[in-house]
Amino acid sequence: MSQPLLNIEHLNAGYGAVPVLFDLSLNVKAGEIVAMVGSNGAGKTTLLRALSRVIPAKGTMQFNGEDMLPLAPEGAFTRGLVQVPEGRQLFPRMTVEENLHMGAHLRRDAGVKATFEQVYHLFPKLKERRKQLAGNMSGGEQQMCAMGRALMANPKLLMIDEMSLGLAPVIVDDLLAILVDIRAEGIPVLLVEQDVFAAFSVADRAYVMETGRVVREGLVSDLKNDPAVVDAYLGAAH
Amino acid sequence: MVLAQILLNGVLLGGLYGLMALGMALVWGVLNIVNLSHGALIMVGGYVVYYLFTLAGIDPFLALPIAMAVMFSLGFALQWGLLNLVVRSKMLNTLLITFGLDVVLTFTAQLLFSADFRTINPSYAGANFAIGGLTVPTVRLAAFGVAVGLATGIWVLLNKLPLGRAIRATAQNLTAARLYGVNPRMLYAVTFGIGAALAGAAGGLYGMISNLTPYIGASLTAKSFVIAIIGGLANPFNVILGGIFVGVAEAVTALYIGPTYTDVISFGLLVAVLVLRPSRAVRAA
Repeated sequence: MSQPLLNIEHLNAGYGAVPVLFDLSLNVKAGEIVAMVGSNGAGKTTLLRALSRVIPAKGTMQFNGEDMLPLAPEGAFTRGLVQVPEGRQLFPRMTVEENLHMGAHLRRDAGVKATFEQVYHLFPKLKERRKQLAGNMSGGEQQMCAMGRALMANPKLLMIDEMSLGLAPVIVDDLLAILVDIRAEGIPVLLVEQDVFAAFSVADRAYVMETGRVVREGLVSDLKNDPAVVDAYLGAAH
Repeated sequence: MVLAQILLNGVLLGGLYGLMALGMALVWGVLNIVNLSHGALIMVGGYVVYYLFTLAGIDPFLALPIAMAVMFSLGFALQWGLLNLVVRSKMLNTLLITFGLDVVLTFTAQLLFSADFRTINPSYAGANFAIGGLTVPTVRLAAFGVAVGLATGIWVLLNKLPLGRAIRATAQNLTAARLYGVNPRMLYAVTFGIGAALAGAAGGLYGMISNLTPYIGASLTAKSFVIAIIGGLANPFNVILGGIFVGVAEAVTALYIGPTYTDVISFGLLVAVLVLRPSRAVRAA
């Protein structure tokens, strides 16, 4: 296997004097959906904030072979490390189309129009609703809009925070299917999720996080049979 | 016929009122700053046009774009160097600092320009023409046209251009705008600059139909505030309509009750709006 696209080793991060992530290592390779699962407070969102360079961090963080730690948030973003934030964070009184435009705000290349087509192809519903105000749509449609907006930035790695939060299971299934399509378009995905069932249904590999540390990692097919993971996250029925 | 003439005067003056309020509404809506120095910026813009006209001999309407550029630079610098320090903090802080700015601008103007009354008085200042029995003052009609034109420009900027899209996005969700590469400090400075440029244009027009002194700022701030509340912060054309509403109300009051009561009416309208449509004022704030 070639060098991973995102390579994190011994990462420590937190807020001021309060450490949250301890000696955390993970990687994402081209063509993968990688899940980072764990319960509330495990440090998942903090990890994404460190990856987006919003909070300081120590350790190794390489993306595409480049050291990311010295970069500001904008630097990480323009190198293709793009996040779909928790809670969608749309621009509620702007149309779907305008929200998508904002994803491409910093792009000056001629490919923006083609990316629009790509996003509308992945999310036909967004094309239908492109003139509608984002704030007036259902939760599932808003999540699609948030994912579409991130794709407009032309990501090299799409990081999604709590995609399933507050959505009906049938909607989550639709979104998971779209993640597979996104991977097929050549964009790897780092899926940060509380819903372990959902994450394991599409991910190739997964990391299990507890109180800021990675406690299990491996192929999803192996983790599904790991007694500790089954007990803690999947329940006896699985 | 008298009423029709009064209504026309009110509409034409109201367009200028709307332009005065437009910059304040923009800054309020995007930066959540109620700029108490807005009227002082109108005053400074008026003096810029006055001196371009009297010292450089530039026609006041041609001087408007120059004044707007000067005021944009001043507004950009004020936001970049000063107001960015308090933006997004408690409203009391922004009220205090813009009030202080109002005092500084007013008394600097007094030192530089003296307290004398000034009027921008081009050769065509008194020109008018008759249409359907009504007298249309040319300068006021042109001022109205400039106001509507600039409101249209702001509408296009906000709704059709990437810069305006980023301005609205930042106003609606700062976190997300930042996430997608918007630089809020720069954007706020540009927005405040545009607000100041609009104030500059309004000041130049005001100087052609009324008197400039360093002290006009406070009452113009108050009037702009009323109109921004009535017209809302979202749509530039509604701000112009709000200005026309106040202009007509003042003109009718002056005719039937007495010219000294015009301020009573415009602030009475503010109270009425706050009582009847409080949600609107709250949303605006």
